[in-house]
Amino acid sequence: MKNFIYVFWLLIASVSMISCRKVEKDPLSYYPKVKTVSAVILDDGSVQVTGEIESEGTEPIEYAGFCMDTIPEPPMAKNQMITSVNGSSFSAIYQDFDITKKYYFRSWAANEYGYAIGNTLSLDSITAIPVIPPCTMTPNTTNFGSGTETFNNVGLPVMSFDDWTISASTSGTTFTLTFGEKPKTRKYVTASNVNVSSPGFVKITFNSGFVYGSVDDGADFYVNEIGINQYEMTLCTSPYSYQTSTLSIRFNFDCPL
Amino acid sequence: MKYIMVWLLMLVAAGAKAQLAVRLLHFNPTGDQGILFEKRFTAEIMYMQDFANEGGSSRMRAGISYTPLKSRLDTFPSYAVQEGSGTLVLPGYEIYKKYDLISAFMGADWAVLDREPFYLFLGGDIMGGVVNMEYEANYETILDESFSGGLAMVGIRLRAGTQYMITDKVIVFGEVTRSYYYIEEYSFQSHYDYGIGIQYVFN
Repeated sequence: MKNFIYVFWLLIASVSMISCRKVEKDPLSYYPKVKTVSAVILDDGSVQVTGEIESEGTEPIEYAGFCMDTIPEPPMAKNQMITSVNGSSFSAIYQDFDITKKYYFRSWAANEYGYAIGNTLSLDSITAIPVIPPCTMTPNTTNFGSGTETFNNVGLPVMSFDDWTISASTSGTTFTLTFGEKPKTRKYVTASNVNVSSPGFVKITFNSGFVYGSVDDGADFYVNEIGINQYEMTLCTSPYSYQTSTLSIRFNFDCPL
Repeated sequence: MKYIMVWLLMLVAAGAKAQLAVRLLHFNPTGDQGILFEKRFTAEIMYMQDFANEGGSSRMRAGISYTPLKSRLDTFPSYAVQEGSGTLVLPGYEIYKKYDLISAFMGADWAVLDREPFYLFLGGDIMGGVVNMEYEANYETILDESFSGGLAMVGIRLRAGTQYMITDKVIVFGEVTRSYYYIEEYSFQSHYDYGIGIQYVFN
């Protein structure tokens, strides 16, 4: 009986020692340590934010990402983006900034025990590098087969199910521009089918009484976002087919007008 | 609960020779408790038989223990994950304002080495008691809860120790223990402790 008690005791004691999990001296050691490394404005006016996991803590990282706001020290859930960690680095791209505001970016990471939030980086005057059309045109005019017309009404981009549409009119012609994304500063390419899965393309159709059709695929179309919901749009030249002829179209307008 | 434990202790002590012991110990939370709570010094009081007086290699003991634990951080940063149109990681926090372990224990020791006045012994206890807790948790938009009250706990404790009889009435001892217990609606928890004690034999 005595021997049994000793063996039983030693067995339980051994198992309990093996199952011991080390208690960290610093309670913060259980949590990740994270740093917001950079926030860089890209050519198209989006911002690439990069973070670094300085320490995973005592357990692997389960989630990592960023938050962003126009107030300093943005809370973790504000405009949150969750990303995957590559090595110790992770990054995300934010878009659609108001050029007049200052934006704050913070990284964060979470493991089994909890989360840690990184330092804040800020950027202001976030805008894309303007795209310069290789032509000069009289503002708000179109040269459309039969002569020059002046735009008198250009609407703001209107979002529908899977595209954004702008309507622009002269006294005799209405143009409809369809984008796969909210227009922003960049060079687009004309295409006959455009939706959210083709953000770099624009479909341009027109209706001028007896003449209607669409701009041929493959022409460059220049958009510059000059303010909040304010754009300059230019098509230097593009062919379009009408009956058996191939004609040329070009236009330039401010949006809205 | 406190009254019950005092009553139990008095009941055990009254039916036996008056052999009281006090142990000062260093309480080391492990597992989840180790993450949340600081180590600390505390004490326990017990009725403990004496190997020499019992004339054998085993003895009984029973006592009570009170250990108020202090949180290692004022606020523990935790989070919740909300799944909907996408995944959202919501920050939150947990605060342990109070976490007192109050337990009664009863068990036995077996002398592995009996060289009176010197003994080496192994032992174990069954423990039962209450964790008196004040807790607060908040996760943005998901949860805001607090709890204040007692949660029942039950568990076991293993022990290895040594003792020396200074006189027939005064015995000093040292022990290392390892404890496992289940706390109602909470989880399995554990700790170890080491300490020294003094026992006085009245009869």
